[in-house]
Order: sequence, then C-alpha cells, then structure tokens
Amino acid sequence: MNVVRCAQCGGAIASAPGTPEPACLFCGHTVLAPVDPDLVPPAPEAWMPHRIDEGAASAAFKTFARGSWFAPRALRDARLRLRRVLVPAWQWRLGLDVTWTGLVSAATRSGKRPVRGATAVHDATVMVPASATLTQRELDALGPFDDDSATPWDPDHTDAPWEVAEVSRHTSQARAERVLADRVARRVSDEESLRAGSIHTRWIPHEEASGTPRLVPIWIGIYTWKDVPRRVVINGHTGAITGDRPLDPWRVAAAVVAGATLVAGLVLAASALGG
Amino acid sequence: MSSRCTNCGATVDVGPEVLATTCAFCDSPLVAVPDGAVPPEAVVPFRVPRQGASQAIRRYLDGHWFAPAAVRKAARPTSLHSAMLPLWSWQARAHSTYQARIGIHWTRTETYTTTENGKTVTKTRTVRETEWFGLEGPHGMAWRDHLVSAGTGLTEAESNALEPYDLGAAVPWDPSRVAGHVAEAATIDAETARATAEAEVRSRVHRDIAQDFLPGDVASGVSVHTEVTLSQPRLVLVPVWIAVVRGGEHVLRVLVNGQTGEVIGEVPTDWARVAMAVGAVLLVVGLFVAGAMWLEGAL
Repeated sequence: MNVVRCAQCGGAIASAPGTPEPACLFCGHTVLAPVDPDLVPPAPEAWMPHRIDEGAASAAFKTFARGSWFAPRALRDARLRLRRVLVPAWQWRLGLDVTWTGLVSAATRSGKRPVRGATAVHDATVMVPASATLTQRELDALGPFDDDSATPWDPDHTDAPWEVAEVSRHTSQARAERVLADRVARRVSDEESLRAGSIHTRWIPHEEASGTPRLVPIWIGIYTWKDVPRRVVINGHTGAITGDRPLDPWRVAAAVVAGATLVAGLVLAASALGG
Repeated sequence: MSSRCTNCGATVDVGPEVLATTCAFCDSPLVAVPDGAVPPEAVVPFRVPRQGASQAIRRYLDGHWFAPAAVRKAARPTSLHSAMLPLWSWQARAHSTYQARIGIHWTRTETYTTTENGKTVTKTRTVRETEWFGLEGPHGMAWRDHLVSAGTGLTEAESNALEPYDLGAAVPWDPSRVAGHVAEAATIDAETARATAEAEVRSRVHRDIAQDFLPGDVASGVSVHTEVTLSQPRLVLVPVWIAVVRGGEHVLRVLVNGQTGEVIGEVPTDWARVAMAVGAVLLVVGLFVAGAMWLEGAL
C-alpha cells in the first residue's frame, strides 16, 4: 500500500502498490510526500462501493452549475476532472443526557423569561468525517449513504483509492457527541419555542456507545476558475453535491440594483398612497 | 542514578526525574525508568516535526504586534529540543445543580426637564433597567481526558494552555517510543494530582454555569453544588517542543504542542510601541472630532 500526504491541504491518500497518485485528489496539488508506514492508522472495518458512474457525477455538476442564478453561465462548461475516492468516516450509535437553558417570549417587562430543562436521547446514529479534507458541513450536505451496502474492508477489492483516517476513535466520538448535542439543541429550541440563539446545552454521554470506522464513496471534482483550482464533492450513492460555486459579480450587481430599485419603488408608492 | 551508554560505553549521570535523554558523549539515546518511578501507560507520538515547530514559533512571535522588534524578528530559536512530558489523565463527569438570579435588560423611555441657554426644555432619554428572575436546575458536563501535569517540567498552567491532546492517538508505552527525546518521569503522585483534577473540574463547572450556561444578560447569587466522578488515572507522555528564543536582551521560553502545533509563551511587551499605537489612535479620533466640529460650524 502506498500512502502519500499532500503538502498543501494535508490529505493523505492510500492506493494499491504500482498505482501512485500524480496529484492530490482533494485539491489538485502535485507535491505529495510519502507517509511513514509506522504512522499510518489502522484500516477501516467496512467500506461502501460507488453506485453512480462518472457520467452521473458529471451530470450532477452540470445541475449544480445551473442551480444558482448568481453562478457564472460559463461555469456550466467548466472542465471538471472527476476522481472516485473512498473517504474515512466514523459511524456512531450513542446517547446523551442533555441539560439546557434558554429564553422564551413572555408577557414581562423585558418580553422574555428564562427557562431550563433536561432531556435524554438514546441510540442515535451520527456520522462524522475522519478526513483531513472533508468537513462536517460537507458530509452533512452530502446527505445519507446507503448503510446496507457496507461490506467488510478488503484493501485488495476496493473500487477506488482511499483517504487515510486522520481522526482517532477517541476524538471522533467527542465530535459525534457535539453533532448530536447540536441536533438536540435545534429540536429543543423548536419544541419549547425558545428565542432564536438563546439555548445553551451541556451534556454527559451514555456509557454504551459503539463506533465503526468506515470508508464512504464520493466523487471529487476539481475545476479551475480564474486560475484558482476549486473543488466539489459528490455522494457516490445519491449524486448529492456540495462545494465551491463562484459568483458572477455582474449578476450580483444586477440583483443588488434590481433590489434597490424595487425597494425605492415600494417606498415611493407607499408615500404616494399615504400622501 | 547513572546509566551506561550502549553505544560508546560512557557512564552518564541521569537524574531521578529523567526517563530518557541523550548520551552527553556520543548523542545516542538513553532510556532508563528510575527505580520506584511509575512507568507511563501510553505515549502520544510527535506529529509536528522540528521544522514545523520552528515555523510555528516564528509565526507566533510575528503575530505579537506589541512585542519588542528584536523578539518579533528572531529568525529561529536559539535551542529547540523535543521532550516527552508526563500527564495524569482522567475521564471526568460532573453532575451539578445550580440556583441563580437571572437578569434580563429592558429599556424604557422617560421624559425629563433641563435648562438650555437659560430656558427650561423637556427632553426624552432611554434608560436601561434589569428585570430579575429566579432559576434553578441541573447541569451535566463530561471530559474524556482531564489532564493534570505529573512532573515539574510543565507547570499546571502551561499544561492547561497546551491542551488539547488527542489521547486517542496514544500508543502503548515502549522505551523505543521516547528514544531520542528528553523524557521526564512522573514525580507528582496520582493522589496529589487527583485532588488538583477534582478542584479544576469544580472550578470549570462553576465558571461555565456562571459565565456561559445561564441565560439572560447578567446573573447574580449563583450557587452551585457539584458531584465529581473521576475514572482510574492513566499516566501518559505527551510530546512538547521546548524552545529558547533570544531577541535583544530578552530570553523567552516557548513551548509547542508536538501533536497540534499550538504555541504558548510569555512574550514581553514593548510599552513604547503600545504608547505609539495609542497615540496614533488618539490622533485619528482627534482629527475626526475636529473635522466634525469644523463641518458643524461651516454648515
């Protein structure tokens, strides 16, 4: 197994011997340094094969490029270099005892009243990235992967190079607890009609928790926009896509002018009606 | 205690607080657990290389705007050596109950009379008031690794400032893991460190409740009762780069977390630079006020 680390983004990629990567799969940088084999973390327990092919991934990018009116029209024709890759993540089943405080609207002089409470969540499933390059926000945006397709890890029978996990069991569990606590905070805020941004949560994790290191399938697309390499990531099961989408400054300016004109028109109309 | 170098055969004096060092005669690694010392359970390996630590120190010093120029421009540390320092680690859980008065600000508008140019005029002004509510309830927090220094190489304050360490990356103790580094043996026993850990947890919980957890704008009369549960302690060695930086007449001790690259140190302040900055801000404000007054007069 060859393991190399990108000097720019820090991502580490493993591949079968004899098939070295010419450039970083995550950012396109070409300075890759070999990783000391003694420091390579243990292998994952399971992996999931890709389901969508390059054509479907490319179509997902075209839809992404058309998905915002503010994106430049030329983005639809950008040359996208697509690579399939398996990215490390931890799948956790865990529970928390959560205590919280917040503010609700009330018929008081300040219009607010403090409230507090406690709740428990059991046996929740949380996936957190173990990657140096894939963020929690990107993983959340990619949506769920089909867990039923997970098969035991066998490095000789994968369908893509894989990124080496950078996050230990220990740290990933702490991150999973934080992600779950954020979910609980959103739920409690809705259920208790708390004022926006007023909730504070603290938690104690349940003793029983299980985590599985696994590799999830994604397509990484690199394209160059105004001489800067940009990246999108695509769910290898569903085609859900997230990543960099540049803005067309002319379109943004046109939207600002149109918005300002509309507001001015409304103000004038209101003053005319009022007069 | 003395130890014989297996490379050159020299007999080297090694202090009772030293777990590993290098031979003074041939620079070969020497590892010896002193008699009676508690051997560490695990070792967190270095992730930040020497060059990375040196660059991190340079960025850290360069970021201190009010440090003396000689310190900010110090090209590289005078000395930089890798050390493995002992910490006690506990899983900690704190179940608390609190009682407090929560203050929420609100504003009202009031009218008042004053005299202007010899005439009595009525004006309005906004007054901030605080409405108070009682609140009591539960609070729970947990720490996967609460760390307390187990040696004298790191003070407890330095140890806290260097955290966090990802102990999930720790590997089981093996003398070869510390060869080539200076490693310190634990000289603070687990019971003494446990008292420190429990006091730190109580203090953190109280601070968290009073400053972050309670809702509203202000809190008063905060009382907290906390039950702390600590697991069995683990003795771990963590990687630290210890640097000495000379800038002019200043000599600084700077520490770098060997796993994350976090840098800490006490950087001196150049009060002349601070005075110049304050003077520049006052000059700009003065010019702005003068300009506004001139405009008001002109209009």
